[in-house]
Amino acid sequence: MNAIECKNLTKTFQSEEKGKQGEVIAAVDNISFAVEEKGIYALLGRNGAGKTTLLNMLCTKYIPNEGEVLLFGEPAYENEKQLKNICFMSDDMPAFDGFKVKKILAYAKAFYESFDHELCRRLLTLYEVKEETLYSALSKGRQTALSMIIGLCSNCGIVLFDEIYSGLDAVARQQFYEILMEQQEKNPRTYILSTHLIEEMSGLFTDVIIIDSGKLILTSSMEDLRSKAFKCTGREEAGEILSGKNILDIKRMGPMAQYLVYDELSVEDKEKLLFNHVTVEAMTLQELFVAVTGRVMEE
Amino acid sequence: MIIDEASLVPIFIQVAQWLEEEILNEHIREEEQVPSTNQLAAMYRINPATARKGFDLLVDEGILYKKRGIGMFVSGGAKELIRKKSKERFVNETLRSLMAEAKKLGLTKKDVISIIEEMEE
Repeated sequence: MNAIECKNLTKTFQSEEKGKQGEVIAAVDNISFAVEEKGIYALLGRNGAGKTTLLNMLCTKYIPNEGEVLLFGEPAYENEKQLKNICFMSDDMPAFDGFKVKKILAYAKAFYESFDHELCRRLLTLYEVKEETLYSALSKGRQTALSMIIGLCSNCGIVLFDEIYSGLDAVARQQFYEILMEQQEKNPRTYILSTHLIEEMSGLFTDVIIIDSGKLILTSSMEDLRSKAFKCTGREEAGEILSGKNILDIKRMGPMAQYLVYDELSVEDKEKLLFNHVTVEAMTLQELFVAVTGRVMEE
Repeated sequence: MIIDEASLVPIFIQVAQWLEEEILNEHIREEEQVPSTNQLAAMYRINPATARKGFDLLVDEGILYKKRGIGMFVSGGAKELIRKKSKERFVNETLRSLMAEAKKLGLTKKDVISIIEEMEE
């Protein structure tokens, strides 16, 4: 079953940029994808790609100009049952300002019916978040930790984390990954994690969604990705073997070249490459991300 | 265990190979319980489903067995099974890549054999 399905989602805003005031820009432009239940999805995109806008539409905080969101097969908009089953947390929660941690947690516990009190106590201690402290008086790291705690303890079928780990130090991030993996084994949920920390998080993901300038670039399971994203390094002319393949980028180094290929390679292809002294490696998620979203600097 | 992201070997197979290596090294002995997929996932930051897939592969091959409600254990005779499997891998992968490397250096099969014969054990 799909936890989330979005069809042709579009969200436009009026530009506030100087000289372009009032111009309509699509922050999210006709995006469709499905999220399988119990997956951990990476949502990747450069700054301003539309990740936050997209996540806000999934939990109906933003209403799309066009398109539709289904949560567990039901239309999301004004669907109380499904909206109690989705938790969206970002590192910037203006709604928490002016409240003590205790009060924020009380709201969360009241809203999310199967809130995990036990885990919450454990995590508050671990991250040293004191219940009597005002949210605005917490350090950036602890504010972030609070968002993370609520997301993990909400026990919602779907949890969306918008870039919350960036405010955490390396130790706190490692603890978060461990808790997430532990929870996923005990009590699997569907997660979408938007992040720039691709390298350190890539092992956590089951699937990936990449967007750029509001458009969907690719969506794939991590397993499929590893069987169709390759780095082929050898003499430049050996690249002829790859003609007809989907080549994302070519880096030249003297007489050599590295081809970044996003395509299936047959056993014969691989043998031919090997015979021509071309080394074939798997592309890492970060390398793929840079290749599909990086723009070439003009000289 | 370090997962090699650049390797063409699927991650779950890398997990299985890591565990085989630990059994051969006797870091984990026959009839002992292996780490839970949960522990493994948390420690190495890999998805538990991937870890489980690697362990299941070893269950299918008889290297591990499941005790209901407790976890997975190393089978009696697992080391022998792994040795047999690793020998095949040694011939198909290690020796082949060794010969390819020798060829690059202009060494014939005969040269390599005589070098090996002269080596002290």
